[in-house]
Amino acid sequence: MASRGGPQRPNGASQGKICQFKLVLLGESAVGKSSLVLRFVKGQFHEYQESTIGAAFLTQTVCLDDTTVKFEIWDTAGQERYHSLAPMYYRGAQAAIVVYDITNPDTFGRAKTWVKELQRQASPNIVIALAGNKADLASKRMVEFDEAQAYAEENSLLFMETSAKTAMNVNDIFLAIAKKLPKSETSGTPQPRQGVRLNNEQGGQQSEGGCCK
Amino acid sequence: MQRVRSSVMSDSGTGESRVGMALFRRVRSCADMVSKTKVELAKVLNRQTTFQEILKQKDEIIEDMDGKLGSPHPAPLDGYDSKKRTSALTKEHHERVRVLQNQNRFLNEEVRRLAKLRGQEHGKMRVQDSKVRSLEADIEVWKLEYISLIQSSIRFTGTDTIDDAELYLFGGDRHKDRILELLCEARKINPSLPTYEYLASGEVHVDCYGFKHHFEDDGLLLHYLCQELSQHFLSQANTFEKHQKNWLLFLKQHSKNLLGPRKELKALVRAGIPDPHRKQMWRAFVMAKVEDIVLEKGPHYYRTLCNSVPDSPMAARYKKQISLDLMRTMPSNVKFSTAGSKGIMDLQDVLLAFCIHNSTIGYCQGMNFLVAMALLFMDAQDAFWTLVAVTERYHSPAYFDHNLLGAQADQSVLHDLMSEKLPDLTRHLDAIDIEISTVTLNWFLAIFFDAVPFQTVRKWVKAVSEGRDDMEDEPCPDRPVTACGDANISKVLVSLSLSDDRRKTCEEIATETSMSRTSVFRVLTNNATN
Repeated sequence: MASRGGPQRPNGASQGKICQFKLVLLGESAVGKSSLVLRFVKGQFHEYQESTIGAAFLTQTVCLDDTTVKFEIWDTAGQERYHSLAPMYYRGAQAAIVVYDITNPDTFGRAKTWVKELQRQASPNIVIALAGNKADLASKRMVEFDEAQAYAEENSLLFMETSAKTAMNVNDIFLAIAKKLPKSETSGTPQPRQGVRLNNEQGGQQSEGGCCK
Repeated sequence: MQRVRSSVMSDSGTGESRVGMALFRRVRSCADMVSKTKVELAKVLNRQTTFQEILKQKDEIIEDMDGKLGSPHPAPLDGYDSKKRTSALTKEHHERVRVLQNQNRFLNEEVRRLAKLRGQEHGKMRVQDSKVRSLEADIEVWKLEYISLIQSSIRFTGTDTIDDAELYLFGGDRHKDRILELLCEARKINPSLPTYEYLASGEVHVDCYGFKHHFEDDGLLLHYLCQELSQHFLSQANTFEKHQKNWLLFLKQHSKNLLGPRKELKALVRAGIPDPHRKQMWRAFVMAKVEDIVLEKGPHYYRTLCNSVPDSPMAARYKKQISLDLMRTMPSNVKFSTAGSKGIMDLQDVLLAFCIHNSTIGYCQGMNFLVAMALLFMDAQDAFWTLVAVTERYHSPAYFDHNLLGAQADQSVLHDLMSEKLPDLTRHLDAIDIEISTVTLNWFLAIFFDAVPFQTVRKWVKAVSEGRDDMEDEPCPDRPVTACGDANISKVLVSLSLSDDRRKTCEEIATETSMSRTSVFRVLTNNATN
């Protein structure tokens, strides 16, 4: 894609540490979870983002001083019905962004229950960020900034109001999470350098496009 | 007359007048005949006099000519000389006739010989024609393969997801020029193909299914063109034509009972349903699945449901979620990208009607994709029955319930099957703590809607037509590279999970798929390729 508004990628092997973190996005349907991820990963925004079924997986890498932080992002479906699947996605996650829509107080309520569930059931050290999305629609605001911030402070969450549309605070919230995550040499998802060899004969590079048949 | 009389005699039961009538008619017809004969006689006489006149004239001419011939000679020699001259003349005539006959024979022979030569040439031409045709077909195949090759040599420079990747073509402009040449050529046959210039200028191209395409990256653009060209060449191929003919024949022969000849149908469906028949076939498959429900609910069931939407608490319950998803279903398709358009309204109607029809399932995200897909090819009522067929017949009814129990159960089954058939991969995934269902759940829920390219998805009727136990991949020559890895994994896993007769090893998967650099593969193998 032409413009990638996301943070700069690591530009070589001369990087220091590489940390990999699993991050999950939770929140009511249509609050903009997928849009936040799309903005962060590809620097794009679509007025109508296809609704997510189950969950979608994307990755993005950010550079933080001498550390390369790679996010493995699980963007989950918002409909209540998919709630029972959520543990599958937040299990083992080091970070979570709980998203609500500042123009819809119900979604803020739902965000609070997500926070509660994460605090109760997710990894104990999980870094939780609260994102009040659609901040560009300030004229339709129904959830006050102060109220959300107070709630976040009470629960020691990172908090930002974001706008996937204008890109406001999108990279910032991911960077804030990256900063807050512990970055010891062994942190992050254990990353085995050796994958499973599916093909016994090395056979060189297979053609990218040649698939079936 | 005797016969008439005897018939009158035998006909003793009838009255005199009838006999009289019959006689009268007979007499009249005889009289008619007589008058006709008279007329003819007059004609013949006429002709006779005409002939006599002609003869007379000829005699006069002969006399006249004789007179002319005889005039230089004195009269006494007349008789002998004329005889001699006549015999000489006759001889001359005979001679001339003989010459002419010879000439005629010769010419006839010539004509026959030429006809034979012509026939031979014709035969040669036919042979040449068929040779040319087969060569042309070969060229088409080569073109297709060339395009596929070019398409596959467009490399992904990105390292993350494919959508994210920038593509570029090895071999420089040479191949690009060739692609554009082929495109120009193809556009002469199929003018609906987009031009490179049009796409390169950033214009939005709408394909035949209504999907909008817009490219900022030249590599992606060329990749798309290759894909379109592949489609085009396929549609030009002999095999395709034959396939079309087979379909037409099948539809003609089995118009009364489309789903009767299972085996034949299966083979045809697997080779792909041609666009013009898709609606009819999808409908037939769906209706076969829901026949009993349609019978029970009546032919106007869908309309009735739609009419009851305003008063239905079930519809009210899901209306909000459905409205949220309407515009977020196929935003890239012109049919579903304008609020209030027919596509959007149909989508809403079908989803709301379904909530009333099946209140235990109601609306589950994912259904919107199934319905939109159906609506691309069918009307709203048929799309409704498609949703019913998929949710209640193809999947178990618990599939979309409030805990998605059925869908989750399938994930366990898939996991078990994988540990049995792909122990290495399963061990690896376990070791790096990845649950396969995080990747595969949506494949099952929306029948691969978000996992494979549209071209492949539209083949999902196969799933409905053949049932869950029999889903296997079909050769898909129209595979686009975009999301290709995802498609492959899904195919492999599906064939693994859903068919028993397949014994795939890891090696086969690796050879069949080139999954590197796709997001899903990264999940599966956790950067095994890096």
